[in-house]
Amino acid sequence: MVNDGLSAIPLLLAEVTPQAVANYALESSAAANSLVGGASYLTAAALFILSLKWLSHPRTARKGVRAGEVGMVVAIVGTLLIFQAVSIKWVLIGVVLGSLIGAPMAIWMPMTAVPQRTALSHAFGALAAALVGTAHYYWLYGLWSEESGIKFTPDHFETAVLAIEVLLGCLTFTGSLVAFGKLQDLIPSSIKGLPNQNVINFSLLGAAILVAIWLAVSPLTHVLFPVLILLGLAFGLCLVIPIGGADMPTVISLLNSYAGLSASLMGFVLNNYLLIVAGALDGSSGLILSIIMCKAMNRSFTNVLFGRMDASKVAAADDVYGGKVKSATAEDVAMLLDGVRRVVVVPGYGMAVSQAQHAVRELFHMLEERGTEVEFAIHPVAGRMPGHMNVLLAEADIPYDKLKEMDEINPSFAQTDVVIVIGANDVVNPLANTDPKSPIAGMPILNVGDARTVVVVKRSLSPGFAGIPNPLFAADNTLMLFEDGKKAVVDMVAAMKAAS
Amino acid sequence: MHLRCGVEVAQLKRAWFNVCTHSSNPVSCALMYNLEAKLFVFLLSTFLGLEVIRRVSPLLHTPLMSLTNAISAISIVAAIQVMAEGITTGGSGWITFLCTLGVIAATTNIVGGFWITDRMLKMFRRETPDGK
Repeated sequence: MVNDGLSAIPLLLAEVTPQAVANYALESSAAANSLVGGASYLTAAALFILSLKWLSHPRTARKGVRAGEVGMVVAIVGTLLIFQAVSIKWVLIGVVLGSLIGAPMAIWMPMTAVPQRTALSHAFGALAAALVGTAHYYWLYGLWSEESGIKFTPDHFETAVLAIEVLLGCLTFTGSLVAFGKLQDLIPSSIKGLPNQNVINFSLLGAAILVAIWLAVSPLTHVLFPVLILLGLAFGLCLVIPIGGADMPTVISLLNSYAGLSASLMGFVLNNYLLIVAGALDGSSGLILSIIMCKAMNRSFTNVLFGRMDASKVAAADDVYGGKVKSATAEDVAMLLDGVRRVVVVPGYGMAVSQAQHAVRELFHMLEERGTEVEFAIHPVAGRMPGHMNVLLAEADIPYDKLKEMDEINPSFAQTDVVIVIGANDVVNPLANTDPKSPIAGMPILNVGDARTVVVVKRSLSPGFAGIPNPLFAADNTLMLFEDGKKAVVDMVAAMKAAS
Repeated sequence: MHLRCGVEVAQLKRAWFNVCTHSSNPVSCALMYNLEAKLFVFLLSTFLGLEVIRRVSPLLHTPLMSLTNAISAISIVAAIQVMAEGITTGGSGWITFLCTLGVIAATTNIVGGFWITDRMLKMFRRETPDGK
């Protein structure tokens, strides 16, 4: 592989056939086109980097999207100029069909469904990479070429990269589809996998790696390629099936990273630097997000992927709650909120499920009008994907300067009169700080217990994803409002209106 | 790698194709094939990506993910390239077929990804004076 290009030079000088000369005449414009093509690749790479740079702040973020769009168009036009042999007809058909699928997924997708959409688009991205890698393998080794009997020196390194690329693409494809199914509730979250799930997973991965090595050693063993694809698909399926709920943000980020890595590896195989750059950018973004998510849960990648939550060592719910839980009505809370100085709202996945964000906006405006300071405390893993809560609250027209990160808002809980927790559980569970044996031990939490009063809006005392009871619910300064998130907030607002 | 007189057909086609499509300049062509150069580019882009993305506010992590997802749909470029290679060397229709599927999947992400990212970012606003 490495010397292929060099070997091509004497090859061209010495071995030029009449047909090759004719080809060259036909492609006399190729030089100019490839120059334009190369420039377009450079421009596109620069635009992608700027795009991510501008995304760092909400003020410049939309400019970032524009830069990304322009970069993508420049890249595609440049590619069409370099590779003029391509069948424009099929590219156009692909683009039109792809747009027909993609546009509705963007226009009508409710913001609560963004995690599902993201998982699905990771599946599409991985599918594209896997398909192209597969086509390239069969092209390289002539199986699908109309001229049979071609013999040439196989390239071990290139085949190894190609095998890893296709493996990553396949496992990301099925993994993301399972993630989509779980987020969309197509796959019941009660499915926790088989007892020996880890043994199965590691056997599948081991087998896939063995096949990849075999292919690298003898690239012409076509028969192994479908085996590799099947193993990749099966591994992705088995890997994500047992992972549920609150681990989804990490899994989605990790799949994001794999999809990028797979595009980057494709660039190694195709000698296409733009693919390497764009894929690496995507890969590093996914990596950073998954690291942030893991830190926010005090867990490692291995623990998220292969560990199982074990709630057996934790005190039973009855011991924790036994007679200590105080319940309140929306009217009580409305009275409590009368004349307070500072309120913090802690949204969780429950808010998304009950679509409470617009009711929360009402509450927000009402409190602000009365001169109460209102802020929102966003835990990094609240919701089902990184930043999920921010998008929902922004959709509900809450100004983004009111949305505070965990580290920023934690010190201020002591000066807060009322904290309203809506559909969050594990991220406010003090066991993380106090019980080293609990499954969430060491996970940074929002210290809502420091506030004067905590109101928890929740349908029941059922445990969150970690499956453990939450002593916060039984704390002296906690009131439970057992109600659907949206209804509870609507009632609160109504009660406040009635009182004033 | 090992040049012999009876150069294998596929390799000739491949080399020829790559030279005249990627670049007419043999030196830059050799660069395209340099594994070290590719690794350098990969390494530097990864570090650059880590640095740039570390600065993205957690506020925008969801749009960040949908934007990088749209950018990774750059594999449409790979689909076009492989399709062209297949057609140039008289490869079978299967290559075109798989690559067309690849173009469809990638375009879905390009159109959907950029669009929904913009939709999300449009909603992020600062507090206006009247608090509405």
